[in-house]
Amino acid sequence: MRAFRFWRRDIGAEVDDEIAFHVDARADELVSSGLSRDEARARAIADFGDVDRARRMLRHLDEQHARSTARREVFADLWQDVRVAARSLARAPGFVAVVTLTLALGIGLNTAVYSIVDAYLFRPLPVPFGKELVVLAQSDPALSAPHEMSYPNYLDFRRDTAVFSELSAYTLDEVNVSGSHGAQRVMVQDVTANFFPMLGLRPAVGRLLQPGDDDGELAHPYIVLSYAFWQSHFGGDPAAIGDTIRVNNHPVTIIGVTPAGFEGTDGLLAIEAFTAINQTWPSYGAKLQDRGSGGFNVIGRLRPGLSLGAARAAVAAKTATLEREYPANNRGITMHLVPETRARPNVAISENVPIIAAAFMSLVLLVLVVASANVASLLLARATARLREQAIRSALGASRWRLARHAVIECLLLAGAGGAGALVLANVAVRALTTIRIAADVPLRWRIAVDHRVIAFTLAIVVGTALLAAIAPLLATRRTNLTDTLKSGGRGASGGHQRLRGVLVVSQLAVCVTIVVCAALFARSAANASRVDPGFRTDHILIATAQLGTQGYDSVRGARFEREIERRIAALPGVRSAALARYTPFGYNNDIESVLPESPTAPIPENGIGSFNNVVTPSYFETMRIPIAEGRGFDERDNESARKVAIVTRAMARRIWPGQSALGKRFRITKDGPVMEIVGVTGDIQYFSLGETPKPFLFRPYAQWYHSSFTITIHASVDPASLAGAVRAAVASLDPTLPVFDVRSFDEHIRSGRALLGTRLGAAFSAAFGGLALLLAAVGLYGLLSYAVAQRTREIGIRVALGAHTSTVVRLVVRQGLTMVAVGAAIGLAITFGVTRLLTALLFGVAPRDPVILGGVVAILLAVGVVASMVPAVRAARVDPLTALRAE
Amino acid sequence: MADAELDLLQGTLDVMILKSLSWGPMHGFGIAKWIRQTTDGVLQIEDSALYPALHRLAHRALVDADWALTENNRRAKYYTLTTKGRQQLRSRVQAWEKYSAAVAQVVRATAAPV
Repeated sequence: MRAFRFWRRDIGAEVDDEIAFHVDARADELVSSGLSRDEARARAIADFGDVDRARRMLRHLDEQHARSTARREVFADLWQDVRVAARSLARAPGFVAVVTLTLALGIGLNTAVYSIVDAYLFRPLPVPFGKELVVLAQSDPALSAPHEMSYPNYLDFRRDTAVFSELSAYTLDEVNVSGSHGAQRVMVQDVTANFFPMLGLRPAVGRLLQPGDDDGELAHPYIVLSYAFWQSHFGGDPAAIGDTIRVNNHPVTIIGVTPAGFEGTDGLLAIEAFTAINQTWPSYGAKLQDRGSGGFNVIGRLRPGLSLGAARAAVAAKTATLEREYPANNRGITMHLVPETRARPNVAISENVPIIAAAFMSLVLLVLVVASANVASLLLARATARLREQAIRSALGASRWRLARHAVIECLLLAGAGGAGALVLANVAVRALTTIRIAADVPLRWRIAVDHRVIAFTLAIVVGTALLAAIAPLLATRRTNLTDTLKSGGRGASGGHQRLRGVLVVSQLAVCVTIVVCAALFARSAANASRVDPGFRTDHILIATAQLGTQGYDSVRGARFEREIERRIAALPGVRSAALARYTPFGYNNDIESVLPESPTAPIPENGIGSFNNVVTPSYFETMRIPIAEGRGFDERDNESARKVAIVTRAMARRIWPGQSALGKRFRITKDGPVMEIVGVTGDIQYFSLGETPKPFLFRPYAQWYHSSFTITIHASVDPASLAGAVRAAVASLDPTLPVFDVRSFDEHIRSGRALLGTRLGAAFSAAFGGLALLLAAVGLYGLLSYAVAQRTREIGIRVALGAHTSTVVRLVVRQGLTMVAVGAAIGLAITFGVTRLLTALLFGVAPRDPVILGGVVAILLAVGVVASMVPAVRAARVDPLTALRAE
Repeated sequence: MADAELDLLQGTLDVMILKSLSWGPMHGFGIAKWIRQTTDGVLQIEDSALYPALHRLAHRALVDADWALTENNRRAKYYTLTTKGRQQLRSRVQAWEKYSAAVAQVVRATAAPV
C-alpha cells in the first residue's frame, strides 16, 4: 500500500517545498540579525548554492529511489502470494495430488502427441538448407497421387527452369553390403551428385559425393556412410575411409561419412548409406534415357528470395512444354511443388497428413479441456468451501484483484507441477512409442524426442490450462456477492452451472465405457490370438532370409547354393529339420496366383481361384508340422526335369473338387503356363491373417520353381533365437558377402509382425487411453460431488442436527454419484454397440458385444464411482452440525 | 585526489548529519544551522550539498523523513534518526575517534623514525 502512496506523491513539489522552507528560514534568521527582507532573501539564496542544480539532483535521487522501491514491493507482493498459495496447497495434499495427476495426464498426452506431430510435420530436416527444401512430384492419368518421375523429365526441370538453386533426384534401394565387418542388407539412397551441395551438408569425415561423381556408368563406385551406420558397423573408425567394400558383391570405395543425425531425406526410412546414381551395380542402363519409366524422387532448393508461387508458375510452364514435346509419355501430367515438410511421410499421401495431425491434436486438446474442466470443478469445490474465508479477507480490504491473483497463482503452481509431471509422462510415452518393433529389418526413421520445442509447447499449454482452470471458480465467486455470503453463512455460489458440470461428467463416464470396452476387447483378442492354432507349428521355429539375385547368382549356381545351405543348416546342432520357402505365413511379402483347374466339379470364375501360395523344399511340411492328409509330400523325384507337381490344402480341394479326391487332378496358374498335377493334400492353414477362416492354398516344389530369394525355416530343439548366430555363420561359410536378414523366431514374427501388431498396438493404446479416461471420469465425479457437498454443508448440518444418521448422509452423496455413473454407463453402452462393430477386423475369439466384458466394464465403472463418491460422502458425514449452523 | 577528498567529506558530512539528529527530529535548515554553530563556521558546508546527503541517508533508511509543522506553524520536512541510523552513527563515531587519535599521535610524534 505504501508503494502506491510513494509513487503518486509529487516528488517535484516536495523538493521545491523543502528548499523553499530552508531559504525562508535562513532569510528570517538574517532579518533578525538586522538585514532588510530583500537583502536577507538574496543572501539566503546565495548561501544555499546552486538552487537549480540542487533541485534537479534531489528530484533525480528521489525518483530513482521511488522507482526501485515500487519494483521491490511488487516482487515482494508476488513472492508473498506465491508463498501463501504454496502454503495453502500444502495443507491439502490429496487435492494437490489429484489435480497434479489429472493435469499431468492431460498435458502429457498433448506433449506426447505434439512431439510426434513436431517430428513429422514441423521440424525441418537437420541440414543447413532444411527450411528451403521443396519436393517435386508428378501425377498423371495412370496414378493421381503425386509420385516419382522419369529421369529425362527430372533433367529437363533441372536444366530448363531458373527457379531451383539445386534440383536433385534419388531412388531408395536395399543392397547387400559386405566387407571385413561382415555382410548386411543396407538401405541406400542413390542420389544425383548435387545432392549434398543442395542440402548444404559438410562431411563428418572424408568427403561427400560432389558434382561429377555421377558422370558415366559405374565410373565412380563410391559410397558415403551415414554417421549411425559408420558407428555401428565400422566402430566409428576414420581409417574406414578409403576402404573397399562390396555392394551387391561389386567393389565400392568408402569416401566419407555424413554428419551425425542425418538419415537421408525419406520421411519414413532411415538411410544408412549414399551412392551416386548409376555408379553401383546393378546400374540403371537405358532407364536413365527412358521417359516412359519413372521411379525418381526429386527434391530441390529454391533460389533465395523466390516465392513458392512463382516457382510453381515456372514449373507449370515447363510442364506444359514437356507435355507438348513428349505427348507419348507426358500426356496429362501435373507437377506438384511442395515444401519438404509438407511432403511427409511421403508426397503421395502427405496432403492429408496435416488434417489427420490436426484431428489428433484437437482430440487430445479436447481431453485436456475435459481434464481442465474437472480440475476447475475441484477448484470450485475448494473455492466454495473457502468462500467465507474469502469474504472475510475481502472485508478486511483484500482487493478482488488480489483474490483473483491468488487463484491464478494457485492454478499456475498446480499447472506447473502438472506440466513437470507431463514432461516425465510424455518422455515415458515417447520412449514406449519408439520401442515399437515391426518385425522387419527396415530401418525406420522413428526419432521422436521431447526437446526444447516440445518443452516450449508444454509451457504454453501449462499457462493456458492454469488460466482456463482458474477462470471458472473466479467467475463463480464473482457472481456471488461476497457481503451476502458473509451474511448467509457461506452458502453462495451459483447453481446454474451445476447441471452443465453434471452433463460433462456423465459424458466422460460414457466415453470412458466405450474406450475401456475397446481396451478389454483388444486385450482378450491378443490373449486369444496367442492360443490360435493356425494349422502349423509356430513354436521352436526360426526364420531367416537371404537374397541371391543382386549378388550375381544365376539359376544354376543359385539352386546349387540353396540345396547346400539347406543341407548345412539341417546338420547344425539344435536343428531338428530345416527347409527353404519363398514366403512366410503372416509375412509382409505375399503372392496370389490364379488356379485354373482342368476339370472342376464346382463352378469356377473365368479368372480362376485366387490363391495365396508358397514354394517350398520337401522338408517344409515336416518342419512346419503341416499334416499331409492325402497322397504324399514333395521329394527328390520332383526335380526340374520331372513333370510339374503341386500340393493343395483341403480348402482348395473342397472348393474346386467337392466330394472328390483332388489327387491326380491338374491345373495351371497362367493360361499358357505348365500344367501341374496334384500329388498331395494337406490340412488347412491360416496364412494371411491370424484367426482367419482357412482359404484355398497352394504349394509348389522349390526344385521346379527357382527363386533367387528364400527364407530358411528351421525347427529347433532349443530356443530358436539362440541359433541365429550359427545360421549366419553357415551362410557366411558358403558366401561371406551374402547378408542374412529378418532373422527371428516365428513367435516374434507373429507378435510384432503383421499378424498381431495391430491388435497389440490397439490393446496398448486403448488400455492407456482407457486408464486415462477412467481416471479423468473419476476425478470429474469426485470434483462434482465435492463441490455439491461443500455447497450443501449447511443443509447436511441441519439433517444431522435433526437426527440423520451418518450412513444416511453417506448414502445421500453416493446415490448422487452412482446415478450419474448409471446414466453415463447406459449412454456409453449405446455408443459402444455402434463403435465396436468397426473393430471386428482386429478382434478374434471375442464378440464385439461380449457380455462378460460389457458387464465387467460397467462393474469397474460402478466401483470407481463408489470410490470417487466415498471421499466427499465421508467428508459430508463428518460435518459438525454446530459448526455448519453457527454461521446463522 | 579530488575523489578521495570528496569521499572523506561525504563520510564526514553523513556523520555530522546523523550526530545532529541524535538529539531528536530536525529539519534540513536546523541541521545546517547546528553544524555551522557547532564548528564555529570552520567547516563551510554548502546547503546544496547537505540536502542530497540527507536524501541519500533517507533512501538508505538511516533516517526517516516526514512533514510536520514548526513552532512558527510552517510546514517543514523533519528528519528522524532510525534504529539503523543510530547504530551507523555509533560505529562511525568510533571509527572516527580511532582515526583522529591515530592521526593526532602521528602529528604530535617526537621520536624520529628508526
